[in-house]
Amino acid sequence: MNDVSKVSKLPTGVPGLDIITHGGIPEGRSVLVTGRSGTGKTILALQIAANLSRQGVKTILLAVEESPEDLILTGDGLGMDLSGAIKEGALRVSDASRPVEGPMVVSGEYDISGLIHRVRAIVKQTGARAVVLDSATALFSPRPPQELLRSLFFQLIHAFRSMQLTSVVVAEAAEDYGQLTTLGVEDFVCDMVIIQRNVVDGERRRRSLEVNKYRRSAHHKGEFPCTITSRGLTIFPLDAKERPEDSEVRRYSSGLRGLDSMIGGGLVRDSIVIVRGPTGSGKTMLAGLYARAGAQRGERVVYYGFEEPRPILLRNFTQIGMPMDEFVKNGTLQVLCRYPEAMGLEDLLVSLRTGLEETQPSLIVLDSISSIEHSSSEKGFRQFMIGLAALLREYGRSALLTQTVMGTEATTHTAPYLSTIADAILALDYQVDAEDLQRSLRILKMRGSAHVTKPYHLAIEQGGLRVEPPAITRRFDEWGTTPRKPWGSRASSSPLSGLLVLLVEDFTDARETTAAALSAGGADVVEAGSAQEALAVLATRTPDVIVCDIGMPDEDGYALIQRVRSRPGKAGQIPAAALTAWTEPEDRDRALAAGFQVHLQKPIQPDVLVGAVAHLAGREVAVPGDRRR
Amino acid sequence: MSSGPDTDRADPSHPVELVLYIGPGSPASARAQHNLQALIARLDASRVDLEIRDVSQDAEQAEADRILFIPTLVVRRPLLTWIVGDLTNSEEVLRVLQSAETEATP
Repeated sequence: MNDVSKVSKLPTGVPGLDIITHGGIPEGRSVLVTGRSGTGKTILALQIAANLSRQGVKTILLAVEESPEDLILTGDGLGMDLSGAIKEGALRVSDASRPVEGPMVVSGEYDISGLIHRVRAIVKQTGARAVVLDSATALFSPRPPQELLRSLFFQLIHAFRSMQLTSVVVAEAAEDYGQLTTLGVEDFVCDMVIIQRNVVDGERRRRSLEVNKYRRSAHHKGEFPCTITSRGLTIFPLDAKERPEDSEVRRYSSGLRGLDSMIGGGLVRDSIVIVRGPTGSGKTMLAGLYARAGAQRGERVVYYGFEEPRPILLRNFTQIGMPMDEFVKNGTLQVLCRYPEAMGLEDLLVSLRTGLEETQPSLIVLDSISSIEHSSSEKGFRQFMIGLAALLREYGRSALLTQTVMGTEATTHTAPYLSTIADAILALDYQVDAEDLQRSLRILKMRGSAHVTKPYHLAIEQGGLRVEPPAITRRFDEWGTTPRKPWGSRASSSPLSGLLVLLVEDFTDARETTAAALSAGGADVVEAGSAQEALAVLATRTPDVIVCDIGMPDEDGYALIQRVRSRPGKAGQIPAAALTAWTEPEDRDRALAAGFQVHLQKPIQPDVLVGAVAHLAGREVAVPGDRRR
Repeated sequence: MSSGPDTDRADPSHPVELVLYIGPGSPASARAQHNLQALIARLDASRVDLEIRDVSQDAEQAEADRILFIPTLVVRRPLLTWIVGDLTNSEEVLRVLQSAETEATP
């Protein structure tokens, strides 16, 4: 099929259309745009006319169904500025409507050469290269006998082609699914057929667009969701722009302690993660950790909550020790709570697109897609998800989507397209055993990355969630071979007793939690809310260990530790741990280079923190990343 | 632009004013011309003003007269009517022209 490469295409500039048509409409050929009334055919036709003329392809608009004035009004109302294009001479509107001033009588045979000669004259005069006809149905009304109709339409399309015009012909269909057009002749002579639909699905409208045929060209098949906004028609294609393959896999921390090491070091940038599990399995918490870690890294994050009102969501996060207020305030995190029932899915897609354009977030959370699913039909939801995935890929964003499933479904049931969309799927679950609720996390899928396959233990604790391997006697696999005490049991002798720890953390809640953990380990804790406060403490006391946050206003942890290290004698050698949510390898390197001995990830489990501090103070446990060994 | 056919400049001495749009290489146009001449012969030819326009030469006028199909006979006076086709159905055409005629004649 070497013909395929020969189709020269004109980009239409209609959002999404050029993607599913692999570049636009066939140049010098005919496109049929069909659909029931109210599907947006005229809008699409006007949009193409406006965009083509703006791109320097002079265009003729043949107004048959409506007067030129009405069409121009419609277009201008949708921001297409047809009037401007007309003024510039880029667009010519010709009235091809039936005269209303008197009756029209048919007597004998005729052809369509009147219109053809009119178009030819305009082409000669303006150099037009495209023509948009709205609509063929109105042009051939009353409808001539079928044979004549066929020949008239063929004559018209043939004439457009002989004038090397790219033509877009609008035609009416009687139904969404069925005969393509009421006239029933147009598609045979057109190189491309676009079907627009507006199906009422349950209680919702569902607009879609399908490229039904494209001669000599590949195109994306099937129906794509679309919507009509104040800026015209937008189509949401399945796999959008094929972004150049990134040979380098960039990773970022999931924010969930223990997860990153299960999946080869972190989530992959520009990937879509679906977290699925039954109600109460910790999906929202995980989503919160994900969003929080991103915001802590200084990335822009948008969290769409569909399950509860914003104040309740934020309060819940605070209650489990992962308050978001700081990030909401400084603008790194946007929390938007909506009820999908209250808005159509197309509108939701539009608002997502607008959000992507305006906020430029690098991470997006949708919690949950199930509430979207429940507020729409199966087909509507499918289109939404496909549109969403396309949107995310088009903009190259990372996203975490939560999905509520029944316990046993988590690993088995799911619509196949959801699996296709997701680059990674995490299944959360829980089982009730003799005395306890056992939570688990399993990685069902992790595209392009090695990962563990067995379910890991998941614990909900203050500050979020933590994952650890399933062994009964848990070991610090990555930390060496020193056996650890079973989870939850208090150390028999306080490992930090007699140690003075300076804790520097600007965020009150986190500081209190961490201080409590250190105190529980037996340490005396001096708290500082900023680098300045820490320096004030250091002026009078010399702690055994410093535990320090990195991201702080004014002076950060790097600067603070550099100051400490510049001090003479013992005061400059106080061992220090960076405790931070900045968990990229480069963050770790930077922390170690600045003068920390250990780089600890937030959120941290209390006994890990205690173990690390004990080690820094020269007591028993081995610590990862320790450079003093 | 599309002000429609102007009837103002009609010559009052010709109560029947016709414009026949034809196209080049169109058998139907030739037939229409022939049929129309025959019809006019059945009327008082002096009362009829006939203009024949080639759409390929006069596209702008065709646009103003809202011509889509060829041939089209625009009956301008006194009763504005568009008659599309080769005028084979002469009785119907005659009826249109005669109704115009009778209405025009006091």
